[in-house]
This record gives sequence, structure tokens and C-alpha cells, in this order.
Amino acid sequence: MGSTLIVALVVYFSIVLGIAVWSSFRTKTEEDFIAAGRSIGPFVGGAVLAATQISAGTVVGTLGRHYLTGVSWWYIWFGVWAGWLVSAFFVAPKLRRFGALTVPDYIGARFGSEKARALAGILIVVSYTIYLVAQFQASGEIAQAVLGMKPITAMLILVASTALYTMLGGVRSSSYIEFLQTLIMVSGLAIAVPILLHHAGGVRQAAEFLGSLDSRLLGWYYGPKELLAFGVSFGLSIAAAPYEMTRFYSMRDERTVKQAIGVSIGFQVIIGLSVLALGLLTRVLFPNLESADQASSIMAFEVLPPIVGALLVVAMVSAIMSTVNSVLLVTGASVAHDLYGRFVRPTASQLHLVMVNRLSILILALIPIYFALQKLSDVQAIVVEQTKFIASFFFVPVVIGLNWRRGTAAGAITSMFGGFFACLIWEFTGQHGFASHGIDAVEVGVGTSLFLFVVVSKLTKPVAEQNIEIFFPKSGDGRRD
Amino acid sequence: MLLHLIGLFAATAQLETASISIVFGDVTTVEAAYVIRSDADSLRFTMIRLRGQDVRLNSLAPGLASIDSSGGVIRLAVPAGGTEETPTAVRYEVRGHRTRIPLFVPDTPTNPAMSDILIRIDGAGTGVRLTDGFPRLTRVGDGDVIARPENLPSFVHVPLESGRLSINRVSEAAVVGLLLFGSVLWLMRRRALRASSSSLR
Repeated sequence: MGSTLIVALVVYFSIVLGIAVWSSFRTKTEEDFIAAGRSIGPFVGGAVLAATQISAGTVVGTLGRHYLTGVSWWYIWFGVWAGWLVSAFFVAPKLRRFGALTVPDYIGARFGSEKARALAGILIVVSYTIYLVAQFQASGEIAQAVLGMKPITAMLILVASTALYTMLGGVRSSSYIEFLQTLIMVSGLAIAVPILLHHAGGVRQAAEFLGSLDSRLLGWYYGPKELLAFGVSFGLSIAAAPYEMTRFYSMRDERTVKQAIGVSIGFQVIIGLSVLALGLLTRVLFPNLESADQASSIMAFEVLPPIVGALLVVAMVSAIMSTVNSVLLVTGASVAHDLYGRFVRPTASQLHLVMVNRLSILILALIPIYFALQKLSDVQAIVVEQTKFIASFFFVPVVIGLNWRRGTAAGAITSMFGGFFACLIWEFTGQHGFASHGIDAVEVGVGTSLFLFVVVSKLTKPVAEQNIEIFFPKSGDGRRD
Repeated sequence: MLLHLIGLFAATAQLETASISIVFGDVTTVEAAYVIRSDADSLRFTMIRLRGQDVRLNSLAPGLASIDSSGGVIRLAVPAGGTEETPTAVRYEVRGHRTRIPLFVPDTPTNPAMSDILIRIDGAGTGVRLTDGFPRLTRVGDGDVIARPENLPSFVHVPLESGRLSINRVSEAAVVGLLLFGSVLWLMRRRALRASSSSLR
């Protein structure tokens, strides 16, 4: 499989580079770079949202989690899809109508506060750096298992290639590349299932073995309270995820955004079911792997025929690249557009901002490598922790802020601070004493954030009407596309 | 929760070598020798019970502690004696269904960088389609078939009676077909979009 895989990777990276170079010639302004000139349609948009959602956390982490714990982890998808539906009905249309370039743009404009904008920018950079750690760690796992490569080498190659295509073409190149990545992921994962099933001797044989190996694999490894906490984490963070929302801005209009979310959920259903089946079947074939995170790459390398295996490895690499790319676009934009362009050089030209954005992407891509090499936890655990923080500080100001006109800047700032620290403190201290009650850090974080947002907003002066009128049009107002 | 998740991955023992010999005949015979580094008092092994098969244990060294055969698995526990490296050998016969031969897999994981696993298959015949086997099978000079997986599998799948269709070939053809179909569809759509935008101008 070695030579097939290398050919597949070379072909894939050549296509990616070609699209990036083509896009770079069409990127002339900051809006082109961050929002692709607002030209993306529903099918490509849906595939892009799916590619952004399906990360190393899914192909490496979730597959590994199914390998280790069985079926019950699958139920968290309902939380994910609930988050998408909240986004489709209560977040995406209003944000697209507003037409901002970044999420801090929305925070700054909605609450009429530069401080709130800066805080949002900083929190995005911090939390997504944690997310990148998971992605880089996954790339190290795959490279080690499949190519025998040192994790640091794999991480540097990943950073170099992803940063290159992100820096060259911005969202336009990312969108077309991620469309391609979703197609590769869906076909690679779906085709692998019957092959593994064939080797395992069918569904009945596999189920008998798994059930006898550990009855929880086909039942409840996680209890309903734990699954609820995980589902809530994913759902709330997706409803307000800055890297998903940035993609809404690049789509044609509000209707396209809603259609794209539907298409994205369709892709996610196929991917989620395939990952579940592959995780369980890999456990049948190799019941005792050293690391659950290696289940996907070992399956690709040791079970699948060379072309399918190579495609699946390319799918895993592309899942990581697409997420790294989306995160870099968001964090780079936070630094360049929301922090540098607002507070350091407000008079900077468009060209200057694009340059700062590209430089930020490179620097922000290098920082998480150090933490990824420490291998602090498994990939899925890092992703879960990060989603808890995103939900704790962003869900309330974004989702409630878009749907409750009384929210104020002071309310948003205290809500972001409060949610972040409540989640942090609960996660690392308080939860051990309260674990038996099943109250998770994300519920405490979001609850604190909501409480502070409502109370502080009620106690402070309302935001000026011109800041909120676009989000709360009076009846009879038309859409403002 | 974080600490709980980290705890799931703590491994204390390791499979160092596994040398497995499978001889096909009227009754398939398996001889397996393992060296496991562990400071535990006993080593545990699990074997998948495949439908239409009967597995009979012939011998076990250095001494059988317990065997439990229930549901879809057979479990073995062997005393380890507290030494760091414990060699264990087991010999058994498989009657009935012949294309999948189950293996005892130790509960200690393999470290692909440091472990050495060799599976040798004798008497599989020359008509076997090796590319459809699991784990990856190759024929060596003396006509025997071997596999050198990096992790110990639950069973060896040797497609003795290959049908006309190969699952691997079909899946590879499906991948290539799907990619070609997708590319053509995308090109056609781009052409249509270009044509419609130029006609609007």
C-alpha cells in the first residue's frame, strides 16, 4: 500500500495546490479573502460546512471512541444536529443578513462595543488553539501508524501545506478544496464499511463477538447523563461556532445558508453512520490496539485494499486539513481584522490587512505543535473540552444576543468572561465533588453565562437602536441583503 | 471527565512477539507462541467464537489456569509467575468452517514499533486469492503464505474457495468509478454555469 498511498497523497496535494494558486489570482480584497466574495452556493456550501464539522475529531477521535466504547457515543450526533438546526433557524439567517466578515464583527456591532469585540477575538484565538492541538495530534498518530513517520515531521508538513493554501486563496480556495474533501471523506468511509463487514463475517457474527467482549459495547457504555452533557457541549458550541459562521458569510444569501445546512446534515449522517460501523468492525478485527486513536489508520493500512486504504488516509488527512484551515481562517481573521485592524492600525490598507492575516495564520499554526507533541490526552477528549469552552462563552452572546434585543455590551462581556471561567473552574476542580449529580462543566458554563447576560443586561443601559435594528427588523421591513 | 478519559488509555503490559503457525487439512491445526512483558500475576487471552466452528484446545504451556467458553468468545487465563517476560504457547484444532481461523489475542496491547508478529499458513493451496485475505497475506519462496501484521488480529481470513467476484477489486473499481463520475459531473456543472453566466451578459 505504501507506494499507492504516496501516489494518492501527491495527486491530492497537487490538486489542492492548484486550486489554491487559481484562487489566489481571484483574491483581491479582504472580503474576497475572508468571505469568497459571498459567492458560494448551497451544495458546495453544505459540503464545506460538513468538511468543517468533520475533523480529526471525527475520523480519528470519534472512530477511536466507537472502537473503545461502542455504540452509545453515536447518540451525541443528535446534539450536533440539534446545534445545526438552532443555527439554521436562529443564528445563520440573521448573521448572513447582517453581512459581517467575522464573528467579533457581529459582537462589536450588535452590542456597540469595541471591548466586547476584542474579548471575542481573544477568546477565539485561545480556544481554537486548543482545537488545533487535537488536529495536529491526530496527524501525528496517522503518520506514525501508516508511514512510520515521526509525529513532528507530519505536523510540520501539515502546517506548511495547510497554511500555504489558506494563505494563498483564503475562503475561496478553502471552499472548493473542502467540497472535494467532503466527497473524498464520504466515498472513502462508505466504501470501507462493506469490506470490513465482509472480513468480519457479517453483522450477526460481529455483534455476537462485541457483545461477549464487553456487553457495554452494544449497549450503554456512557450513561444518559454523560451523553446529554456531551451532546449539549457539541450542540451549543456548533450553534455558535465562529468557524462555521464565517462560512455562512461566504454564501450567496440567507436561503442558501439554510439549504447548505440541510445538505451538510445529510453528509454528516452518512459519515456518522460509517464511522460508527468502522469503529465497531475494527474492534472485531483488532480487539486490543494500543491506542484507540490509531484504529482508523490501522484499519486503512492493514485491512483495506491499497486504493481504498489510500483514499481513506487521504480522507483523514483532508479532514484534518479542512478543519485546520477553517480554524486558521477564523483565528487569523480575529488577529488581523478584529484586533490589529481595529486597535493597532485602524488606517491599514486592504492589502496590508491581507498580509497581516496571512502572517497571523502562519504563526498561529505553529504554536499548537508544541502542545500536540506532549500528547496530553486522546484526540476526542481534547475536542470535547474545546467545545465546552466555545459553548460556555459564545452560545449566549451569539444565540441569545441575536434573539433578545435587550442584551447589552456589559451583559455580553460579563457573560463571556463568566461562562469561560465557570467552565474552567468546574472542569478542573468542582466537578469531582458534584460528578454524582451528573452536572457537567458545559452546563455550568452556559448557565452562568446566561444568568450574567440577563441580569447584567437588565441592569445596564440598552444598546442604541441603530446597532440592533438589522437583527430585529420591525414588522413590514424587508430583508437587507 | 478529562482524567477519566486519560485513564482509559493507560497501558501497563505489552505483547512483544507472537509466532503463529496454521496448517490447513481436514482439521486445521494452530500453534501459537507468545512472549508478553507484564508484571501481572496472570495473562488473559480472548478468542472470537466463529459460527459453524468447533475449537479444541490440545495443549497449553506453562499451565492452564482457567478457560471460559461463553457467548461469542473463549477466554483463557494463564499464570504469569510475576516475571517481566512470560512465554506462553498454545496448540488447538479448528473443525468446521475453514476460511476464518480464530486466534487467541492477549489482553495486553501490541506496540507496532517494538512487537514482532508472524503468522505462517501452510496447506492453503495455490488457488487462494491472497489479496482478499486478512490480514495482508503474501506468498513466500517455499509456497507458504505468511502475514506480518503490526497488530494481532482476532482471526486470519484465508479465502480458500475464491468466488468470481473479489470484494477488494469491486471496492477499488467503485472508488475509481466514483471519483471519475464526480469529476465529470463537476466539469459538466461548471460548464453549464459558465454558459448561463455568459448568456446573461
